[in-house]
Amino acid sequence: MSQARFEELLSLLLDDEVSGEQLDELVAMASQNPYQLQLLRTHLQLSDRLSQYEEELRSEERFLQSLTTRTQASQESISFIDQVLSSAKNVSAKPEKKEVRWEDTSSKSSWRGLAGWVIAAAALLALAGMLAKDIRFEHFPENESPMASEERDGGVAVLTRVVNLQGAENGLWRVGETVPPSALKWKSGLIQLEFYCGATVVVEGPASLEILDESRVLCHSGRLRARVPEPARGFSVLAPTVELVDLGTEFGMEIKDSGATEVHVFDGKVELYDAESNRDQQTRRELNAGDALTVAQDGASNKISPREEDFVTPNRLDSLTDARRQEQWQKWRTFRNDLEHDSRIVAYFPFEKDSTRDRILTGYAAGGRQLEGAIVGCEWAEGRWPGKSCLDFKRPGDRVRVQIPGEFPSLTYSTWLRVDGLDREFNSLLLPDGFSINRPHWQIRRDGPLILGLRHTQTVNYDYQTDSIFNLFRLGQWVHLATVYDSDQRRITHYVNGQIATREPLKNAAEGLLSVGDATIGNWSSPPTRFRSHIRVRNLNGRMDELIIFNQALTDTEIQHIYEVGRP
Amino acid sequence: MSRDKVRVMDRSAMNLDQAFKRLVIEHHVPLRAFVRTLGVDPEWVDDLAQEVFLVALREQESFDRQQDLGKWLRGIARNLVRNEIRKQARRQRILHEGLAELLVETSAEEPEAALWKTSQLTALRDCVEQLPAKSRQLVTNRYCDGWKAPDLADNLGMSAVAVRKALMRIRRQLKACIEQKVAESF
Repeated sequence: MSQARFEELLSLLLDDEVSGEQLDELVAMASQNPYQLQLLRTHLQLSDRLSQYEEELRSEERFLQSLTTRTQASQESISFIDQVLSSAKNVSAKPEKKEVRWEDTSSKSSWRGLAGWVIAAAALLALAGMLAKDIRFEHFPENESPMASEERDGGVAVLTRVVNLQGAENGLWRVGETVPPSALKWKSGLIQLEFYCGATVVVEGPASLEILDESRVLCHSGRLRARVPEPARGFSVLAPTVELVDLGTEFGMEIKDSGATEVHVFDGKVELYDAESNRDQQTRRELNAGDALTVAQDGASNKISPREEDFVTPNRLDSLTDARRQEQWQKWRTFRNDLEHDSRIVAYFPFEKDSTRDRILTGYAAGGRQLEGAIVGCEWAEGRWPGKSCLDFKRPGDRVRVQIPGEFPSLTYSTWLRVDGLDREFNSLLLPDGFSINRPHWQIRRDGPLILGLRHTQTVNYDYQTDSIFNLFRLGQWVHLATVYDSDQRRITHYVNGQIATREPLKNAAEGLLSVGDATIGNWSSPPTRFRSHIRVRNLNGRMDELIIFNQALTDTEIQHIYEVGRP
Repeated sequence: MSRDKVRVMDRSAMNLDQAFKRLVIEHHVPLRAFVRTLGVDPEWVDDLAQEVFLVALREQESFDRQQDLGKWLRGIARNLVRNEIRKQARRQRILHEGLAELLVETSAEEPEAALWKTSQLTALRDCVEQLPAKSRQLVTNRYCDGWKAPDLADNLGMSAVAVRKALMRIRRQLKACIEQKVAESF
């Protein structure tokens, strides 16, 4: 009887509505009877396992996603605190008022809702960045985990043009890069930012900016021109002496080191408010097309004559960019012609289309020998510069078959690559057929690391790999990858954009000469084995523009040089 | 997250996210089920299990390498549920105070081996998919569609009592089937 009653209560708990009294009764019974307690536990456990199996909302993927969001939120709050602590020394340089004001003016709807506090944490981080002054430009995207990259975009703008940039703080700024809320400072040169709200802004250095969010930028100094189409109305620039809110137009602003600000309206109209007035209506002024004025540090304003030509337009920037690219391309051509005769090359594919034989990838080897790669499937496409060709690897069958004879104590690999997606568990750069001893596998794993996979002996395989270098934000951008197998120093070094990514000693088992032989670029040909009858697909999704293999270990400086001359 | 915090979960010097992700993938299935056996409201099981992993990530320095990770995670889960029982404001994540207390305080160091070890769903999947069609349908309606006994009863023209008994019987069968499969695989 007691057992039947217990099971009835248990099934009410598991599959029906159960009352508090019934649960009291169940607890009283189970605490007296170990068998019943065990039964309770077993059925709870199985119920949950079944629910995990059946309920889509509880899938592993969703569980991981929401855990990732929570991990990031907690990491952001930790790093926010770290930032604030580390910046405590610098705080006095900045007026406190500003912090308060930024919070007050944030009336965006994105501050509310489920994800609200994650976004809030990100915004606080941006604020902390301003306090810390030197927040790394790449703070968000580069440290993004592969788990995270699929669901969250820390960016608010895209860097779309960079011309003659000099003295940029916080490292290299690459075209195509997603820009999170952060501080940007540089000595000279022009950049173009396209904000997610739709505004395009060209800024000329010397300049110091802080990007607050997708429609607000704080400008300490510099000269900028903004083109704000209808959907981006409300885009605002905060300058030391004035706050400008755009009403759908085109305008220029010059913020001098003294803090004095010039505003020029070329088209449409803008609103001006006194700085730090929290858009006080009493201080509101409207400027129309053709108007220009200067606001001195003390807030006094005077009309001036408009000087539109001083503010570089996006179109002008385009032609400047083209000129610079041509120059860069010319530099690379010189390098290319020298390299063709370099005695250290085992194979050099510059990826130049020969229209008479467009299914052949022409390559060079030492001693003036020519190599022929057989193109299968891939289409020719535009490479690093307009007019420069490259191959686009897209479909699972796309590949270039090559034969690279010889045996070498050391090898250096170098390629320019634009990865469009990491679709496979392994995404091939250059893979010798099969996987035999001392024939290195150069590839990228799905979660982002660059790998040199080696079978040292029949039983010892090892992947020499970097941390994840690809994430959502690096897809679609040209990147230079190089890997050096150095048998003298007994180490493997991976480079990304000319910089060392990882350097790792060779395993003890590593010995003997390396070879490539019959191999595939951008895919893998593995003969079916007794154990595995199907072909494993490792096709690359992206473009390759240049592949070099040297029969020596190149130095850090040489790799850096290949990167510098080949940069798009 | 600084690189030097990676060590515990990562012996091969990969980055933390991957090591952590591996850990989660390896343990989340049995851990979530374990959280349920501590009397946590089914609606809040995943939320609390995520918290276990967040605590694990934060406290990784305190993890003793000799110990087994599953055991460590279960210990964290127990502590979280104890807090839950203690803190009035958070009571909502457990079903019933007495039930949670009983389950936490009597929860064995080593949960049922077969069910814990089959962390991947394969054994369960094979067993579920081998169920007779009618039982299979009941499992889908209960666990995928989320219907409780009275709805199922209406739909199937049975009594709620009969539905509950059928579900109890199915779970028993599945348990036996999984144990059988695990035993075979050793």
